[in-house]
Amino acid sequence: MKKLIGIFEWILCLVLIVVCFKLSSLSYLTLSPLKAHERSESTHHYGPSKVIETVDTNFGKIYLCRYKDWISADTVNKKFLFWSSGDQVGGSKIDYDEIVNFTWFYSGSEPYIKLHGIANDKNITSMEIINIVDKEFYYQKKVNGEAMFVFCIEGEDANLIMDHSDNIFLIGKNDEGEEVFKHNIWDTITGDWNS
Amino acid sequence: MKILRRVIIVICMMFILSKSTILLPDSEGKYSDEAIIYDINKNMLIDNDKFVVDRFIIDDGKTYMEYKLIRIEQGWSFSETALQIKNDENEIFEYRGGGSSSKLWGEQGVLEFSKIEITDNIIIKYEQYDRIFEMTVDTSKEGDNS
Repeated sequence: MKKLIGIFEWILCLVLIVVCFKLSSLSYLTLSPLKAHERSESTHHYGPSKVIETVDTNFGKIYLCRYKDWISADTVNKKFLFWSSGDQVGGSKIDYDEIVNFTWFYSGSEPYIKLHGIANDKNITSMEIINIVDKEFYYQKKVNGEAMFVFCIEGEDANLIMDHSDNIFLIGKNDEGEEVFKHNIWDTITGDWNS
Repeated sequence: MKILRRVIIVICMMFILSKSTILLPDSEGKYSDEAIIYDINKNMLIDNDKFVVDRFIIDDGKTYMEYKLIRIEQGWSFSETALQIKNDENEIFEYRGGGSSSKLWGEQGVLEFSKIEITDNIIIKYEQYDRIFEMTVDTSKEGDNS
């Protein structure tokens, strides 16, 4: 009889530990970054998208993704041994009438800037972020096979860009280095969100 | 060993009690005596999650909708802006705001809309990205006003 009570209490322990785990914030964590990204999309009722490019950052990873006519740059955060969903899981709709669609996101706590988009003009082979006044900083990236690009700018440069954002331009260039697209980063171009 | 398992049980029980709001449904919202309540209790699937419309309440010039989202995987809260609610005459209930709390089984919340006449049927549409789900709920009978 004593043994039976013992077994029952151990089973109770197990059940309670499982319930506690589900109730705690630990249940939001995953062991793999990709799983955190996938869960982020499925609980937002979006995707599953195709991962086009993965960027490693100080705080985690950014997945540049495409899903039908939407593009996204989903952040997942590293928490010790685990991963959790970050920001901007949902996609923005591509407006094919524009030369380049782009959108960006700034986080002051890290700090970092994430700018991503798609070049609808197939002549564009590289994208640049530049301060057109004093050329204080300059970032350049080739567009990938899906004509998409993502910049992640961390640390003091992210704050500098925010401070001088009126002078910060996104430039798209063709193979000859000619400017095909030039836009202030405030004038984000995307199609209608959520439609 | 006996002490160990009993300590585990006590600690777990204390933790669960401290989280009781996550386990139990929220108590029913308080409305005035003049409130008109429609019991709906109808659901639709949004991907694999069950979206349950519990009640419509008209009170003090506003329409409220009480809902639940039942799901296994925890994550982002429900995108209430993806909802569009219309009556039979194609008038849209404009979203004013809302609140929700997360539960072990998902999420529970109340959304507030502008006051539009409640016709015999209300059409609730969820539309975001390529997800489009729709259901019609019967609001021809008023519920128990208590």
